[in-house]
Amino acid sequence: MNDLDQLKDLDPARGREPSAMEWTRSEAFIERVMAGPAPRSHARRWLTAGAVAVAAGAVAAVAVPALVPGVAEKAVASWTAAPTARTGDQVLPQARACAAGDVGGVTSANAADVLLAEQRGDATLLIMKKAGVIVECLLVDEDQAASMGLIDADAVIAPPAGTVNLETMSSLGDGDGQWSNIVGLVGPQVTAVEVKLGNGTVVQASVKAGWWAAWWPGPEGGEVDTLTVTVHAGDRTTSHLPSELP
Amino acid sequence: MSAEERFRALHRDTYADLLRFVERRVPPDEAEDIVSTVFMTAWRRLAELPEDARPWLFAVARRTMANQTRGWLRRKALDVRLGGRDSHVPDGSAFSAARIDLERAWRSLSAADREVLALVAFDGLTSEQAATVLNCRRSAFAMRLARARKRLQAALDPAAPSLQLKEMNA
Repeated sequence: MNDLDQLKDLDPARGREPSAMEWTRSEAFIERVMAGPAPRSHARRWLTAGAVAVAAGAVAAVAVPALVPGVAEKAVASWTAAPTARTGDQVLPQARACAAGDVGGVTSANAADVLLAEQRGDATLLIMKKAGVIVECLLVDEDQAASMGLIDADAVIAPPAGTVNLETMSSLGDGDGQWSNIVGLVGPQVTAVEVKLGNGTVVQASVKAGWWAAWWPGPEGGEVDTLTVTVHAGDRTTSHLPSELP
Repeated sequence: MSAEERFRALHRDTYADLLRFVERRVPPDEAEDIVSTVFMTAWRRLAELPEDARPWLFAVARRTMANQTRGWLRRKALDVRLGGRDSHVPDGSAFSAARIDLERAWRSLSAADREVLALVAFDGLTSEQAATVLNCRRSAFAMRLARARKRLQAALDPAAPSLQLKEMNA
């Protein structure tokens, strides 16, 4: 018997099985939960280069080309915690590159399609409309994009005033090229959103046209609640774990 | 399979394990609320659940306990309760003495060591799954586990500091 086997004797839940009453209560609880708001219907994640289209509806997430090796490292190395806001006109080449990708269907872009655009070092992050779908793109050079479908444009419902929701967060890559993103909708009166990571880094998110978004180097977007989201609305400031956000 | 069917299957497959995971760490009268919160979160994020959902649920449970347990936030590890006090052990037997030594050694460890050991010995997770629960890399978890096992062995047998640890299968 090794040391770990010996330890099993100390297990406070050894042999513990839920009673019939506990099963019944818990089953009744999940039925009540399911009677409430529906779960998010799309698993949205960045996909790597070469992924075959897995379209199962307009919002399938397919990224071709994704950030190729070396490009993610370049984006990470030049990253800044505070973004520089960009207009649709300023990022038109990147918007066109995003529009030409498969995610959300190939379209051609104009400046008005860009809902949110920000620059952090070498990387441009876009949230834009593509044929009825809202997509997110991260580009380092105009032809090096990672993109993700977010939501059907007609499904966008603004959160209540002063609040935000979380549409998705995720991470991609590993090592020096690993990065995370977070995206959601903002209600009226939200003036700023910050993401505080477990290591103390505070990332200033971009807020524009009903959306908030940020990306940063590191794995937190793929983890459970290792960051907090702080929402500023007038003189009111609230902080939330991702799992607490609607 | 509809979302509802998938969620019922998830509940059926994981409820007992999740309840045990939580009851190892908080008093039983607090466990039900925490388990309910975890399933509520899982329903809202059903599309994001990985295929191996159990470590994901445990990670949410661990975070939920951290938020709900007063004073926990200042500590890094979620402590594990000690069980088996009501098990019948004949007084004075060799087994009883070994059990007392084991309990004493367990109590001498840090909460962080106990948490790492419990994830494998009590919760039955692999290193990969335990790393998911603690939000660390598998290699980091393996190192923490090896160190915790060394300290456990040292506490059990202070006279033999370089005890060979048997390889773990997990």
